[in-house]
Amino acid sequence: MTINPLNRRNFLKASFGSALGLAATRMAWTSPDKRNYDPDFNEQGEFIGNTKSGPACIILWLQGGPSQLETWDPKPNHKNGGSTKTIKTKTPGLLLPSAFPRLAARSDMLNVVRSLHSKEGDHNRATYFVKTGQKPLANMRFPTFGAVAAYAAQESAGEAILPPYLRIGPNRPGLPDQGYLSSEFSPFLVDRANSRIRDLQAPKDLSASRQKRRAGLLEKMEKEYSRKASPGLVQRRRKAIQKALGFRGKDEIKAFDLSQESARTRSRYGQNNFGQSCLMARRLVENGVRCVEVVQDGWDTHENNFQRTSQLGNQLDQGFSALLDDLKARKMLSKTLILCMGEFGRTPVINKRGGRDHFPSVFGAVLAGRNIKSGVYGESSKDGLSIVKNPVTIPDLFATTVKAMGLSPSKEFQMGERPITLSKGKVIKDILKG
Amino acid sequence: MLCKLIKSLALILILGQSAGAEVTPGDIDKAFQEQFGEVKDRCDDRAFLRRMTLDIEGRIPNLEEARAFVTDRSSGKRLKAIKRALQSESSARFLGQRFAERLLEKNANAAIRKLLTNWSAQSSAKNRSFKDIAADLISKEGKAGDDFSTLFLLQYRGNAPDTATAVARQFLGVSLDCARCHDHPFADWKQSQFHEFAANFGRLRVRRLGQQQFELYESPIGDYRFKLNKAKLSKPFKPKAIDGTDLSASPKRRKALAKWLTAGPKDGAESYFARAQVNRVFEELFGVPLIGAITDINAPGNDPQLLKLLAKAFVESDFRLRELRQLLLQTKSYQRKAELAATKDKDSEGLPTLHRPLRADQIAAAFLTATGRDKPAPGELKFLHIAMKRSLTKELQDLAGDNTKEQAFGSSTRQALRLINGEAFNGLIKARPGRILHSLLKEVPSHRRRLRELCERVLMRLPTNTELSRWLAFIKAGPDTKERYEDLYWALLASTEFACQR
Repeated sequence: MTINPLNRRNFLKASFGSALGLAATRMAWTSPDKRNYDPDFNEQGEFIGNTKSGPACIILWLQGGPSQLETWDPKPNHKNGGSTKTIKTKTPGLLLPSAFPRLAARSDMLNVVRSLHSKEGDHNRATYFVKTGQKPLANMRFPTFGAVAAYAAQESAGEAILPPYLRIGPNRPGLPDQGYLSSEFSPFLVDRANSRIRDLQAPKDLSASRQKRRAGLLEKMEKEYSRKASPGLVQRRRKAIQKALGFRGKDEIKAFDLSQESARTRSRYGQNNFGQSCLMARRLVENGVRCVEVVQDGWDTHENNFQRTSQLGNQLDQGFSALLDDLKARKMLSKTLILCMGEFGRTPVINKRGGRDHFPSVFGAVLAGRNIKSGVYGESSKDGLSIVKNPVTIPDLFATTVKAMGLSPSKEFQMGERPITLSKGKVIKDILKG
Repeated sequence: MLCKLIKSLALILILGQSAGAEVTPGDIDKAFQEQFGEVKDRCDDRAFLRRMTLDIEGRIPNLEEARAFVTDRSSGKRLKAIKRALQSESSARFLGQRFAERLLEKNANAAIRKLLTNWSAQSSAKNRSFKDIAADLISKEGKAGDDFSTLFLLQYRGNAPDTATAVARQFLGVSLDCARCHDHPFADWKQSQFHEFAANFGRLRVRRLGQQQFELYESPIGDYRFKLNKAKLSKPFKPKAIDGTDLSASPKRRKALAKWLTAGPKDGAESYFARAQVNRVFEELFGVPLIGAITDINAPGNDPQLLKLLAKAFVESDFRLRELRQLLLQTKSYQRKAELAATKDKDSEGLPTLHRPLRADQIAAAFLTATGRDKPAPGELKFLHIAMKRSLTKELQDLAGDNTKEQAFGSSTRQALRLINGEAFNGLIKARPGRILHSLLKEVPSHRRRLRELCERVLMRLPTNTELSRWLAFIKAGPDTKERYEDLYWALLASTEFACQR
């Protein structure tokens, strides 16, 4: 195979990860021969995978606390298992619920953790704990794993046009965010995949030249004010405003536009909010977003657990599988970490209303992609009430995912006089490749 | 009965005595300068009114208020303005909100958030003694619906160590987080001290009455112990105050603790309680704590004069925050001119910077005022105006998120996009009938006067000569005058100067 040395791909590869990476990407995209290339193929017509994307992370957040017995740890031979049927998978010894036929066929891409445990059984407290890997402290704001993943990816691959960290799902006050990391890692919030993203496009009557004029006026004011106020304060805002202005007219913002995808692709992901959000997550990561969090709400199944989890499970199975397929086909799976979990598990004992209540003592998570080995880690007892093998704490999982993103969990951040270690959890080597 | 009478007589005597040596703003200024350095001048009227209205009412003054204030020639107009602001409804709401924020845990649910915030706003409106407020929060019992002050402790669901850490942080200004698990080599507190303090909450219980219904009560018996390991409990701990005062004699442990809070030398002026609250209020108004960190102050004994004076004044006013704020707001130190701070590095001694980002609620209110939407437009129905105000506030606040974040609005990409492309925001600055810019262009004849007014309205200051000539050149550079005014209006509102306290 011979490849022209001036091929854009190679040029990009050479500059990838260097400080010039960003500038090179921009130059490459604006080069005159842009139209002669289909970004996914080289001159020989060989598929070489998406190159605009760098290391990335996609979090599938199952909000409400998914039942581990209806997702990653079914108990078909025990009364606690309820009516959930199971199917065999590609992974030896791994059974998954029958709502997951597609994931079962792709289980060789997954690492199923069955032995997570914590003590937080309240939605807000548990969400904070699981997302930040830290107990809330009054005088400290910790970053979520998503923000840390975006930070890690940006460290190694440089800045892109789109924001580094996005969350697709309903917002509510009190959710943890970038914490002590810079405000550029604050989550960019998108309510729903199917609706128009607000503020992304300029109002119709506001021309690019006027926006430029405005920016010019502002720039002068900011320069003068920075002599009085803390320059850092002004600088952060200038950076954010420049980034936002930089969206105008860029190809990358089409990542938000799902109508660019064929009807077939869209239906492959599932015609529901979660599925379409997964599709958007793929498009965003392809266009340089470092971390996307997709929220699937509805897992708080105190009542009618079995019917509701099978519906949610179907959507999850479809969206998650399509995401795995597309990332693999684009050669992005090895660069992209996928983490799928919620804030806690649910009681193995079924309550009177056919539901399951909050249960943080045993629950699960699934990892895939970047640096993740396939397999099953940890084991719960036959009745699902306790852990019998390899218990995993929330900080351990946090440290493991940080490591998978290529960052050392023991990295220290300086908060005033106080050094803060990113995570004190133990990296679980059996989940990670080599 | 007789005992009570003697007590109140004694109180009158003490108060009578101390009235002679009342702490004045001048005393505070002297002590402030000793600690932070020389304060040269007071700022001008506009800067003062903006600063004070933002700190107390959480909004910026509108053009009419500002002009009336500037042209007022009466002496003592600043004090008058301070008093008016402190008694306003908006200040009760704003300061109540701030107080509730500090009481609420980060992950508190929406219902608790709302109820505790309302309770706190009411306490603030009544200017209740902070001693009573603290006593309510620490020692009230009952169902959450009967008295919302119980919501503070309910957050910790009867967990004594969690409750103790929170109470210490809130009312003593000390952080016991380290001492909770070990004798930290650098921390001031020993683990045994922590558990003695936590023992005050050892009999605190929370009973669940139903879905989202809880009751807080005190069990008559029970010793506080903590888990040493899975199988073993520690020895029982006697309830003690943080200074070692034994509180086990009282049957109501939390009541005894609340009482101890305000006791101490000089009627409590040298207590952790008074010093911690004074430290907080100082930080609220000056941007930095007076001593240590807000939740990490030193033991009494080595305080700077400024703290001593403020604590004395606080005690003399029967622990009323309104009086304390009034005293601080009157000082030259608070009213000082904004300095050029560019070269000074952060750690060096010197005047604390006045420039700090506005909170989310302040910025939302400031946008409404600067675009003339704080009051209904002529002919606009009141309820429609209220609905508009609510939706716009929400729109700005949902992006600014948490009020307590220390970043200026516009520091995240999402916020910056809203400033640049946001429809509601771009709508507000349009020169169409009913909007500020429309009447400005129609009613004010010269460019120069228009530009001055626009700057005054948004930034609450007059433009410098350089700015004025630059903007004039910009306005005159093309035929699209209306659009050029809109662009300038946009830039003023998007500026960091607008998004900051100063």
